Amino acid sequence: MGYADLREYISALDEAGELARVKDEVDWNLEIGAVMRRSYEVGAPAIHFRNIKGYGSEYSVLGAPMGRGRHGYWSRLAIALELDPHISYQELREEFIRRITSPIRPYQVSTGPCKENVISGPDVNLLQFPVPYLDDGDGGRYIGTWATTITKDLDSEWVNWGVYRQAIYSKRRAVGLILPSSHMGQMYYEKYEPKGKAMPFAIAIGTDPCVTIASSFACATRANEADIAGGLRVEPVQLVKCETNDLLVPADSEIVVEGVILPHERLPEGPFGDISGYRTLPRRPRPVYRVTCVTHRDNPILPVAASGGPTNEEQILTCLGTDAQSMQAFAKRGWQVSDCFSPPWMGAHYMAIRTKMPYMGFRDQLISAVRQTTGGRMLPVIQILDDDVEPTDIEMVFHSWITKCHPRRNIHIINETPVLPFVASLEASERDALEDHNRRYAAGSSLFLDTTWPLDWDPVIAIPPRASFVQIYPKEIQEKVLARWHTDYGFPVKEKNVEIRR
Amino acid sequence: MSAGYQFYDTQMQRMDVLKEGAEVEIHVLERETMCSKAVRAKLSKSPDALENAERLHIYGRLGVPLPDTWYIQVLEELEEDELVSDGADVDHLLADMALKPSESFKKPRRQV
Repeated sequence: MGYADLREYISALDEAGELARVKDEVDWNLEIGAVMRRSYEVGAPAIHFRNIKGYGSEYSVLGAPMGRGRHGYWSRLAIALELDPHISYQELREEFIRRITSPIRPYQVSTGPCKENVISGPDVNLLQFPVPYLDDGDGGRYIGTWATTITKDLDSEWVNWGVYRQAIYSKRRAVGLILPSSHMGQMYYEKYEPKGKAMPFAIAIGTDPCVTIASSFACATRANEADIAGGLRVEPVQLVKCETNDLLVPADSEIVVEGVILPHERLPEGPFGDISGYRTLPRRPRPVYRVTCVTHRDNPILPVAASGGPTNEEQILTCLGTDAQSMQAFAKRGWQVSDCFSPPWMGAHYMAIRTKMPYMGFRDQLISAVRQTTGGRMLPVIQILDDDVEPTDIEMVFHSWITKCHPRRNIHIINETPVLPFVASLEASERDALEDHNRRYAAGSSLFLDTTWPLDWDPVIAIPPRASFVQIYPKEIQEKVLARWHTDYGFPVKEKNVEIRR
Repeated sequence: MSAGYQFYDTQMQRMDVLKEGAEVEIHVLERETMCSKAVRAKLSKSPDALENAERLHIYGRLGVPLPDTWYIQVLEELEEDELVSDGADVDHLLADMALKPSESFKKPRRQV
């Protein structure tokens, strides 16, 4: 079980029809980004760019490694987990929960493919890799978009793996966004920087996909993502020690960037597309990654994710992680919640929860449970659905919102809550506060929509019955109409499936 | 895309730093490499007013290109203190660096 490395994953994508190999020359300056952006928008395959202008044949880029798939939004994610690419979202989420709750500890090896080339000190040049300039107006060429940034807590054994963006500033320096609310932000702003210590880091680029999946979603604080990655791949991750610090990195990495982040050092960074689908955070001074060493495989492959417009890796994985944590939270409390769904194309701004209300006030408990999860604590919009609305059926979800949501009774605004600074509707001052580590990141507002019928409404005389084919006709009539649909009435064969109410 | 540089209007580097004939120290993105640089430069709205004038493309803080037309003559590239490590002396280096703040804009690297 588990792919040995990124290369095996690329082969699996190819076999499943989820990979395009581009042999013609492409430009790292905007062309690769434009191809990827279009791929996300139309659900085209991942792209292996083999011939990049100004770079030799030994370098290549894997674009959109786990973006919206050809066989569905989650098909490449399913392939990464060695599942059927046509698997339903609910089945995928259940398997995901099963694996992240069965962690497997990694083990250390003496060396690995990532050590095939070692470049340290003055010879380091991040521009040796064909790092694309993705979108016009970006603040630089981002080398860390689909990579695991590894840091260790200053005064404990906690090691964090996360996906944090890094733009190349110069040959041996990168600069990146580290939000104060993130785990790495907690380590840097609350521990290393106040004590005047340099924080060692390693960026593992191009690993087995489960490593990046584990790094992508918001695991609980102090969770060990290396163990979770092992659970996801059903096999331990092999780790190897860095050359210039004591951090351990996946041995199969295509590229490893090592170095330190000094306290109080900032350089301008951004803007860059983010999970919201916009570029929300302005260019401003952010922490600097000073690079001490780069190691890489022969013929390294640089995976690149273009955060921004839907539907990309960050959105798919963040939403799945939040849904999984929420379903775990509901199950832990013994609640009968049928389903929840955060549509990835809504950029981690929204979750719909389907449930049968057992008692008054249950809705507040539901919201509270979601907001206690690491992924759900910053969700700006949560909608509660009655049990007859499937949360992945966005037409019906929106219909519920518009028809059942009483403006006075069912719209709840919670002020002074933490939200992601990427929320597009935030005012500039709110956004600044969320990025300011001195202000403890509680500056936003969140919205909670109750689109369920009130429990004290009489189901016979007060709740309007849904006038739909499957809900207002006797079963016999439904079956009769469906049986005669094509043959007797002459309607076309292809149409949306209709389920008969049992 | 044409060569030259990109300038971003930001909170710490506002548009009003762009003044006709002014000599300024600014952060720009070099279009040839799309990497950042801190430079001492002379600015003008007319390419004829500068030697070796290159186009300076202006962007808002969220990366929206602005229509303003400016030109730049880079007089000097400025570079922060460089980290030099052969990997053998890292512990010592880390200890040193932990006490050393950035010296951004302080050290001229080379004349252009």
